[in-house]
Amino acid sequence: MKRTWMLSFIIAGSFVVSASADIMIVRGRQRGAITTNTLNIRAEYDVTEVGRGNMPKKAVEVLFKENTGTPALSSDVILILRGPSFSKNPDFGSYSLVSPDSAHGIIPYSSEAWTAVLKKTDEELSDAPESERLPAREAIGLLRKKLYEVYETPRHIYYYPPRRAPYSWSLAALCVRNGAVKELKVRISDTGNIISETPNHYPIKFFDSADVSAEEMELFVRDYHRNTPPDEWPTWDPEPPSTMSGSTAEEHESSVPLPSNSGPMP
Amino acid sequence: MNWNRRVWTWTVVLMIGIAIPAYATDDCEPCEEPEDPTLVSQGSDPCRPKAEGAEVENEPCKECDGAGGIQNKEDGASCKVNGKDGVCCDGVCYEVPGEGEDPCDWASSNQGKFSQAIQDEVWGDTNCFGYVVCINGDTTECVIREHIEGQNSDWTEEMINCVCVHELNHINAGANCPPCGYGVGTFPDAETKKQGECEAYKAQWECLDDIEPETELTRSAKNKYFEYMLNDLNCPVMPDPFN
Repeated sequence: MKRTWMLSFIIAGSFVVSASADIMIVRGRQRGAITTNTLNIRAEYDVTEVGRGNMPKKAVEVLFKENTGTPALSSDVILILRGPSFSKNPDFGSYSLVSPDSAHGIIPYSSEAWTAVLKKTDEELSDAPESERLPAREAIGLLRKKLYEVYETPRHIYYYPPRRAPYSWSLAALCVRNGAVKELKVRISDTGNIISETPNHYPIKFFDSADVSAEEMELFVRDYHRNTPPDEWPTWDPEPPSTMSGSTAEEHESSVPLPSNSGPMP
Repeated sequence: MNWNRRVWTWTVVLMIGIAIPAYATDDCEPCEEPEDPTLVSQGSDPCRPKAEGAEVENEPCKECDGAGGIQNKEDGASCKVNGKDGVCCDGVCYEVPGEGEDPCDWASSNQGKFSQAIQDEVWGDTNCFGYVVCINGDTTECVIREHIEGQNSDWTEEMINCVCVHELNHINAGANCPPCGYGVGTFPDAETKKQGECEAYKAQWECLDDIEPETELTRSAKNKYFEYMLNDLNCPVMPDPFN
């Protein structure tokens, strides 16, 4: 019984590793138009050459979030994709681009570009070099503005430490609105765009009164994270005096604390 | 003269006869009753305890303890509040859904019984897709389908059902509920929430994967949730697309 559990654990673990590191480089010819739905941007290609990785499909759709670098996606392209495929069709794959931005994953084909891409390691292809990343402080500033947009007058804001995702930041914050604790998770690409936002879909906490003090929220945050490692605790943001708009937001920008591993404020 | 005296005597006796019980009644506690005046005149207390279990006026969930005091009726005892069926909890009668009535529908049509914060942040927040309704500590999982449909207007009914699967799944992760009265369950802590979210998204993903035939939209949704679980939630176990 124990062995079965351990085996499932190892299988699950190895799948996680392979899912995050499964980079494929293929050459493709675009077919059809680029389409957009509420979730993704989508483009379809016939696979004409495989440069790296296991690509058993004859055609693929690639899904991404923004299209900044290649205004007119050319028909003959190099595609940098990340597995797994989300299609059950044996001849047709459905993959994520390596980056939410097509600029990093759909490159106009040339023999020089093909050689250059193939020279790069999976690690190099999986994320932007540090010099091209959006600074974490700027990403948090964008999250704060979003919080004010979504929750209007959020109080007692706490930011979780930013986590790096492919070519983007994964951020989350807690705040209080109307006596309830709210959460907002966002992905912000290195281009500074919010490419996904997820408010909590399920209640987190209701205080007895709408007027929640900083101490009450602090106590809640400490208790709520009692089983969380301290380096994953959120950090308190000293609130601006009024709602964030215009110059107030800019003035406040400099006082934003970069989440550290120190946990909540004492 | 004799006649006058007699009238006066009887008047006084009559007044005392009325006054003593009246005085005694006013003076008795809700779980006491006036003692027999004859015994009172012989030195007994003017009030004696009502029997254990005797009703207390205007207190449907309280009863006499047999010693002159008041005690709460047992939790779960039936009661009436504003003419409607209720259940006692900690000495208070709370209206509850009728026999066979769905607690989610009941809560939705009795929002005023919940705190203002709950009203605003559950039914009033279109981002809230699900909740656990707590009625005297009893929990029921609820989904707010209109909110889900409103936020995913281009989704098919099957895909919407998968969001319901998500909500119902992580609701089972456990909810903090008040023991009495009306409330909405919340996750006990951040770790439980994270685990609950991962399991719920996995269930939702598998539900989307089961939809036949697959479409651009179902693939897009599977892609979105897979990426979210991997990059944003950092889930330890991911759904298996090869299954």
